[in-house]
Amino acid sequence: MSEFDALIYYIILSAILPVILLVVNMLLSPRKSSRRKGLPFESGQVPFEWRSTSFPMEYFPYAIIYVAYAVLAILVFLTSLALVESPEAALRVVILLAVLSASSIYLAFSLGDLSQRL
Amino acid sequence: MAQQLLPTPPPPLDDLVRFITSEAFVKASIFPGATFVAILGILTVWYERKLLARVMLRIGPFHVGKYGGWLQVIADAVKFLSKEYIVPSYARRKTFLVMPMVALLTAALLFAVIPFGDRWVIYRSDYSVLIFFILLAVSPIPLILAGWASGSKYSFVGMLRFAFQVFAYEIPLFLALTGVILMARSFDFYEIVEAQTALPFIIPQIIGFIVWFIAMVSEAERIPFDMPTAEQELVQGWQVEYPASGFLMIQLALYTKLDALVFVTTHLYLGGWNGPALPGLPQDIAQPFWVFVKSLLLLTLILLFRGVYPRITIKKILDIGWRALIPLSLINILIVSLTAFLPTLF
Repeated sequence: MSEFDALIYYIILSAILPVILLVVNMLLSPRKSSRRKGLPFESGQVPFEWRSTSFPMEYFPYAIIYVAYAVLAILVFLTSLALVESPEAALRVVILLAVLSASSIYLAFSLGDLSQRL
Repeated sequence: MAQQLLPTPPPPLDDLVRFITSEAFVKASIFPGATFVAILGILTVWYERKLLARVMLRIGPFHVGKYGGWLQVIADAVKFLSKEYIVPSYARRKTFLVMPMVALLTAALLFAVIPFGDRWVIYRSDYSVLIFFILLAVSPIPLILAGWASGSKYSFVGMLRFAFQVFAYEIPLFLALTGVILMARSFDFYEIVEAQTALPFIIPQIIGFIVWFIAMVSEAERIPFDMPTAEQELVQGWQVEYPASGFLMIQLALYTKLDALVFVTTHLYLGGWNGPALPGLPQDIAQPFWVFVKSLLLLTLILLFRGVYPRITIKKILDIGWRALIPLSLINILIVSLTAFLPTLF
């Protein structure tokens, strides 16, 4: 239990700190609401409607590549951990990593031609 | 003698005194804990302002406080606290109010597993590197939600850029970490630092260090990777709607995260608290001293980027992340597994 003590106190303290900041802010600050204060910031212009219009989604292909690479990263991570447990598999893991490195270099060159605007 | 002179406090007070002076509470509240983290964030802001001023041949904060205007940062904090907390009418009110607090909490929790020497750690675990990385992976989520909840165009664009940048740099960070774990054969910061007594990992893993360093600067949203909060184009990006203590909490969270990343880089690549023995200093002080010296060098380097480099475009940021850092980090793991497991290879 004693090794967790400091962690528990620290979590409580770091959770209290933002609450203290917010409460002190609420106590010290003036409160006078007006319609103009609630407007979103738009460099001093009158804000125009935008949420009904569609937002152009650039770089979306990268978000799809993220899914593939995230799985790959976890695979590489787990494989490397297995290497710590059983060093006799080193040759196979090295071959896997070499193939992955070579293919990621190829992907890096071919990604330059990918259109990023949908 | 001192015990005889001081009257012993009555029982309930006695318990309180014993609780406050207990090692667990001192660790949680003072040295690697809350007070240290808060003061560190404030000092980092002051140091950055002074350093940038020197880069630009200015003086920087000067008038408030006797030595180098050090009270200026506290004056700024008090001013933030005395401003009105305006919630924009388009914003999602609850998320808007809660997310800066969650961001500060997750950033502060990063320090729970970072050691500063044999004694100085809040929570020692066999999996401390993994815990740190999980917290680091969670920490952008409140910031993304804060940008989304603001309900403003600028913050929405900044939030999207931030999300793409985090996507691109999380994987190189993770893969560079794999190289360190593979070489130290442990998840514990203590054993990783111990494995570097002879040779810091920066020398055998220079590629991994470069990858980790670039990804770390991007993760902490420093220039040249601060496209999400671009001051000139996006007027602070996803933070634009945050007033008063919300802005203070977000800034504090970002600086705390930067400090945590710098300390972890010191432990992972620069050999942690290993250093020449200092005559006359006990080990409990010498170990944090070496951590601070190495971290200060690294922090100075990162803060200097802001004065030296221009901001790069979002396309270049994503290209560096996806097309340069990921292949480099895979090559790094290949080299590490070749060198560390060479005797067992054939």
